[in-house]
Amino acid sequence: MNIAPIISRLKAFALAWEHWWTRKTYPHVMGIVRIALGGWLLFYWGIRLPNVAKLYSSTGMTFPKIPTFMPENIQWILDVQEPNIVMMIFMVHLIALAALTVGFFTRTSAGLACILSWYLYYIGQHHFHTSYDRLYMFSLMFLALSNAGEVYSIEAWQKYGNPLRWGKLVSIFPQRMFAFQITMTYLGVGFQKLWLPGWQGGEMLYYSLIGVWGTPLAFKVTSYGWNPLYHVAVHMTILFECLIPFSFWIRRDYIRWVGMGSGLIFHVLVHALLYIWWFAVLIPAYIVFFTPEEVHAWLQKVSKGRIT
Amino acid sequence: MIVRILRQAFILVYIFLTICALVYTMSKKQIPHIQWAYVTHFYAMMAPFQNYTTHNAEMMIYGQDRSSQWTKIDHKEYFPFGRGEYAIRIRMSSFGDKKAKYYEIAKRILEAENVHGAGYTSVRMQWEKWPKSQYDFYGNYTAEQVTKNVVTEYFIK
Repeated sequence: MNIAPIISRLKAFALAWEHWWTRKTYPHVMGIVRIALGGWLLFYWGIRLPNVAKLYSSTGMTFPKIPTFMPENIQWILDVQEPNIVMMIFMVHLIALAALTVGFFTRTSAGLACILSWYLYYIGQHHFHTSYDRLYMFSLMFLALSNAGEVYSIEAWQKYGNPLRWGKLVSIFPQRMFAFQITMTYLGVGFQKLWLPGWQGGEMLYYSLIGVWGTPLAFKVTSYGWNPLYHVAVHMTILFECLIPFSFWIRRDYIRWVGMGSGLIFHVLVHALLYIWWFAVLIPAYIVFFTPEEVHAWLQKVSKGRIT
Repeated sequence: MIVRILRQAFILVYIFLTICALVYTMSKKQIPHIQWAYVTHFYAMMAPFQNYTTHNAEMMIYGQDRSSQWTKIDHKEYFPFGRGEYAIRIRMSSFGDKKAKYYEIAKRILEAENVHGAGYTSVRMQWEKWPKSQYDFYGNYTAEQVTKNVVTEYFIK
């Protein structure tokens, strides 16, 4: 049996795989993601500043969770600290996020913010154990692995004399990781609804709107009473969530634009009807589904060549 | 070369753990020999809003003074969150032994309240449950419809 064609095909696949995941490309997409995500996280953590002592220190209702994989001799890291120490840690976190947003010591800032997010998660955020808290942590890890400070940053200003200039191509790897994770999040969230008992009818939506997350607008809507249209809305949601992870990757016939547009409408509706605003950061993050070459070409066009 | 290998290893491990999470999301079955601690974060990134209830529930906190009068204590003083976040946080679902945590919370609240001159002799925490209303979160919060379940009570020593 001649296995040479198989080996050559495997080689071609390995090369294509590596090219797709790690090729060198323009830095603009990750620069934009860095600003959007850094600014968002700065806001997200910043609004907790007045309540830091209550949330994470020994004077609050703070009960840390020790992860099962953590060796016993380093579990002291998660001891609850006095308010002034916690405030100091928290301020370092905010400064790291601010530095990340403006692109100053970008990798170090993202890495530090990731570690401190992890720390604050196990100290006080684990009670809420939400999807977005984990997404935020992983996003910071991807930013720490990236060269997201190559453009639109203080680093670029220092190196090239202008924050809009850039000097070297960067790896597409972190952008792909973002795109992969967002796809898988929508995929899991959408497809499980096909069989979850709670998601087989409009009751899911109706009872969610009148539960703990319901906004005044949601109660206004439900005040008109039960309507079979709730069934339609639930099935539309499932249809949308199942199709959206694929649509983002389809460039022809404006399909990804339709996917992103429906994503925008979906998240805006979620925020209007339920006090769940934390996923809104996914909307600007859709930019990771555009290739850096596309974004670069578009930026050149709109800036009339001022962006190189 | 080492960087290339490490990067590919990272990608493959990440994809593998995400698939483990997806399999669990879709089937509620864990892939054998893979510890849950490695998968949990990946699972949590794809598992919000899985079910619903027809009742609202809220952990209410009350303080009793020397005249045996019960006063409701505003939880926002100790748990400064919106209603939804408070509802989830106070479940203490990270812990197996919730009772000890609730007892500790009641103790800390009593001490904090008395520092401010409340003069409580005990603090009680109880789940209160009532049918959801289409008009308002507390629409059906009436004496006839609320069921109460005491979780803990801390008495002054």
